[in-house]
Amino acid sequence: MTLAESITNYAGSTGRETSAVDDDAFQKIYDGTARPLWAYLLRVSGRRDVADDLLQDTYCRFLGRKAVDGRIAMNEAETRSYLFRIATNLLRDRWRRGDGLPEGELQEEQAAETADAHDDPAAKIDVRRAMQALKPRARELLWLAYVEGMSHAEIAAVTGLSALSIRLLLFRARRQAAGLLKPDTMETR
Amino acid sequence: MNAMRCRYESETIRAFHHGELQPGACSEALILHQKDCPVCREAVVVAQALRRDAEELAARYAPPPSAQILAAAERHRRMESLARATRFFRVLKIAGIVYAAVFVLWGLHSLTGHGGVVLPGLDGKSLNATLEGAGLAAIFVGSGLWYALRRDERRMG
Repeated sequence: MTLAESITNYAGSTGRETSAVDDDAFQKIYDGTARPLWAYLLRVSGRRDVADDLLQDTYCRFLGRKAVDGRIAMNEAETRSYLFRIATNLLRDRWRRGDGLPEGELQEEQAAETADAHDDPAAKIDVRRAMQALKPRARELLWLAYVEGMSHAEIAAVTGLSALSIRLLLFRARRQAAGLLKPDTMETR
Repeated sequence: MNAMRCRYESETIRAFHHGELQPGACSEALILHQKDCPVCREAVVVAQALRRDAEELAARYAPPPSAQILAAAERHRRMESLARATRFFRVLKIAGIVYAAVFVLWGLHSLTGHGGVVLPGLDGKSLNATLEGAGLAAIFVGSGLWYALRRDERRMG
């Protein structure tokens, strides 16, 4: 056995016991969060492949954590918020590396979504287009506030922004999204 | 009223999020307010569109099995542990290469500068001890480097 193999085996034998989540608990968390987390990643990134990759990376990071704020256990809301925080950070890391969205891929995915849409394909494409027209940060804020129902404080914890600036940024994002989604039905503009 | 400062917006969205934005489920005042307030009405329209989209996306997505995620996490963790553990050896490897380069340069310089005499100031006994020490060091560093570089080559191949 080589030195590198010995070290690998040692790392493998000692790390599992210190994991913060056992398999059953993880299964429960995963079942409850994978779909909403993927939807968030897809709409914010605009790319299916990125959403798939980052979903896996998010849970890898989550499982690799030892403790948060000195505690191993987290309640459901904390776990959800923590997962969205990891996903948001991973998305930003990608953008920082300049991982953009090729036009061809966008159209391909749009076509796939149109084919999948059963009830109101036009409305669905509206949401997709509206999200793509917004800045990434605005997409994050809108999704966290209006889909996940997070408070400003919770969004601040996920995005790393201050709760005060979230109020203003969310207002701008909402006005922009409202205009993009259904311009004819918005009486507020 | 400042359009961005409706103090009921959060409450309205929270009620909408929990499916309570209807008569009987939340306060009558909140429903009346939502009808009259353009900010809250706009927020509800946006929330409705996004929620519908999110539900459709979630419904048609089949996440990979959790066992696959656990296995990936395990691989990820092992790679990180290995990288941490082998950092010391990487430093040693670099130090070995630097040592070997300096040793060769010094040897060449000494041989060419002193007409083939490596260390002119040393007597016979000291020179023997010095050469033995340098030779042993060269053997140890050389064998260590050979092992380390051979492992790298195999991994890359």
